[in-house]
Amino acid sequence: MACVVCDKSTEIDFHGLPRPCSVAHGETCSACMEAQRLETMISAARAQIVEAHRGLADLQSQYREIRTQMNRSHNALILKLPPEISSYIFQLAVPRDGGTAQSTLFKKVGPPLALAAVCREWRQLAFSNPQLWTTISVCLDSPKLQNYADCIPRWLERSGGLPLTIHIYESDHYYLDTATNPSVLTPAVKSVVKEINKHSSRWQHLDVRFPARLLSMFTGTDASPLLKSLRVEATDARIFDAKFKLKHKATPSHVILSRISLKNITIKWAYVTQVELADVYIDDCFEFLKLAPNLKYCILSEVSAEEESTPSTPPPVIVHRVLRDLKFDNFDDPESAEANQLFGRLSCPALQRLNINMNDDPLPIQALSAFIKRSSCSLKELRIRDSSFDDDELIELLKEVPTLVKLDVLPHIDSQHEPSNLLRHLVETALPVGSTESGEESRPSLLPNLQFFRYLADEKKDVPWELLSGVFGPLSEITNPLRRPLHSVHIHLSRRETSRLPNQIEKDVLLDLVLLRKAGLDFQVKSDALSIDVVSYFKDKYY
Amino acid sequence: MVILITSDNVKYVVEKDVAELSVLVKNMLEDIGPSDEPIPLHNVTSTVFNKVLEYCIYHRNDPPPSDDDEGCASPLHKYLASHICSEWDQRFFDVDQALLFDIILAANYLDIKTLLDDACKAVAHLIQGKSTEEIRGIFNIVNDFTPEEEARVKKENVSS
Repeated sequence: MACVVCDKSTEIDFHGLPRPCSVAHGETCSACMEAQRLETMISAARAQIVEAHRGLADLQSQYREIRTQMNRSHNALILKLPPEISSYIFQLAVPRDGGTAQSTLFKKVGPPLALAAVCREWRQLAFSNPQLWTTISVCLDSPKLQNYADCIPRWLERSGGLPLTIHIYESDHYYLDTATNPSVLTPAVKSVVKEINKHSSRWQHLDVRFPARLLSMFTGTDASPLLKSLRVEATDARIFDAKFKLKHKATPSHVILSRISLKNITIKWAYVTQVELADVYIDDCFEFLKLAPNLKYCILSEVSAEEESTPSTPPPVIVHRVLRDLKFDNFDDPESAEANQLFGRLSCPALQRLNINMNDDPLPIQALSAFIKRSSCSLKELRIRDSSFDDDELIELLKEVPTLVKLDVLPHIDSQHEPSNLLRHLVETALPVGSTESGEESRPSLLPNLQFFRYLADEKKDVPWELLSGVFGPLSEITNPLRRPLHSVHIHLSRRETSRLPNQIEKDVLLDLVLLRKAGLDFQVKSDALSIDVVSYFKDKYY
Repeated sequence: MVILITSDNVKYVVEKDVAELSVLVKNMLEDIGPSDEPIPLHNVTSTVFNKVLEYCIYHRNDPPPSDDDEGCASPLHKYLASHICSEWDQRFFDVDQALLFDIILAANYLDIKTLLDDACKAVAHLIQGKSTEEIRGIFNIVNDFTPEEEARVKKENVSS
């Protein structure tokens, strides 16, 4: 028996002594008699302790029962509300999907478990609510992975048959390189992937981000997955080796792939409507555009060419008749070769929005211009970012897109680009030439449908205030229906390490700008570094 | 105008468009047709109904809630739907817990979906981001797990 204070054994060995003794003339000695008396008392005390323990356990049990009853009296969520409303509140309390690589397991796993740890009734309510358990997020290099691995089967069981959202990733600050360290394929990693694979028929949103070698472990089962969105990213440097081949081809509509070749992934591309391909070969981009005829929204970034890729004959033009939004992010390609190749081979008659970020490299204006002509599309929005370009060539390009409603020109900060030329053209073409005589059909010759214009200017250079005041057309013609319908012009002065105020606005020009605003036009010149609206600043300070 | 009588016999004369935010009242009005008869609200006291009425008057011109198919709603839409409440709503639901639960019950009984949703979000907001101990404190709940259950709970939570 253990001491209730020190937890050490208090057992006394009653054996080993020959008793009763008969040393005193055949009678038991006094010591033995005393020992016998004490043994009897100890036995009685032991029985009392056993009884007390039993009583204590009984009291503790009663106490727990009364605590449950207390909860029933206090716990309004359970006591007052119908179970379906309590369950609904639990669902609202658990954050919805929106996982990022930065999310820890706790942020995702914690809330349902925190609810289930409050009391017995909350636990029962949480466990009987499958919706709470449909998102699972596991960081494969977590030191607690074995715990997660043990937890996942029960977690998935609680989710019933509902569709699952699964995020599996490695942490940002831990490089899980299986090539140099095969030991990362621990039993816990295998166990997690195996368990997730078992439920492939319920994958609705699957997000897997880790090294190529682990990606191939995701095979799913023979059952058809109901996958709606899929993100697969090979995080290691050995790009394009990764394989993601499911036993049963999935039909996701939203796909994000990074560092994975098209031939190494098995999905039915015909169902894809939105895609983001990153760190991808240019040939894969073309192949993908051919495979996904229902694609509406496409982002291509960090596109590169395979070294051995040298086509002998000019490749055929690829016509994509459904694509509406195209975004191209250039990456470390000073010759803009991939951008030239892409826009040189593509035709997108349904294109409405085009967003090009050249990341400091030259804008492939010739190829772009040919692409727009070839597509004969009604382009509504054009965004050119972080590029260097020739002003005259840009204006020629803009003449190819009379349908444009929104134009963002955000040249690279070091491109030395000046807005004057473009602004002058906009000023000169704000109204059609001879509009008063030529009647209804006359339109401005440049961007006749433009409504929104945004430009990033270098704050080191003077702002051409006079041109800006005229960009909407003469004040007297603001209500002229033949005027270009421009009603929003935002000029951002780029942030520099040492910011300065732009050149001052002449009084009469400032008055024009103020009147433009009063006429309901949205005209803003913002210094991002100084966080001021420059027009308002000069108006308040000097006039 | 519509006459409504709460369970503690307080009479309210309410504009029809406000009263009809309650599907229960709307259905009753359709059933009985044009009438001056008061409509009894058996499960709602005047204290709670005052709050319900305040909500309905403020939200009388809101667009009706869409019967959004859960499967079609975008994650962002769902996130916004579950998180965004106006400042007025936040102040409105800043009441003691007993009244908040009574508002939920009243909204459920009167079948006012937006009020029910918003009130449930207000309760969920009390739980969000809180630890188990904090939740117990907020709802006046004690730990009633057996030692065996407690050990299981601890083992589960060791993951987090």
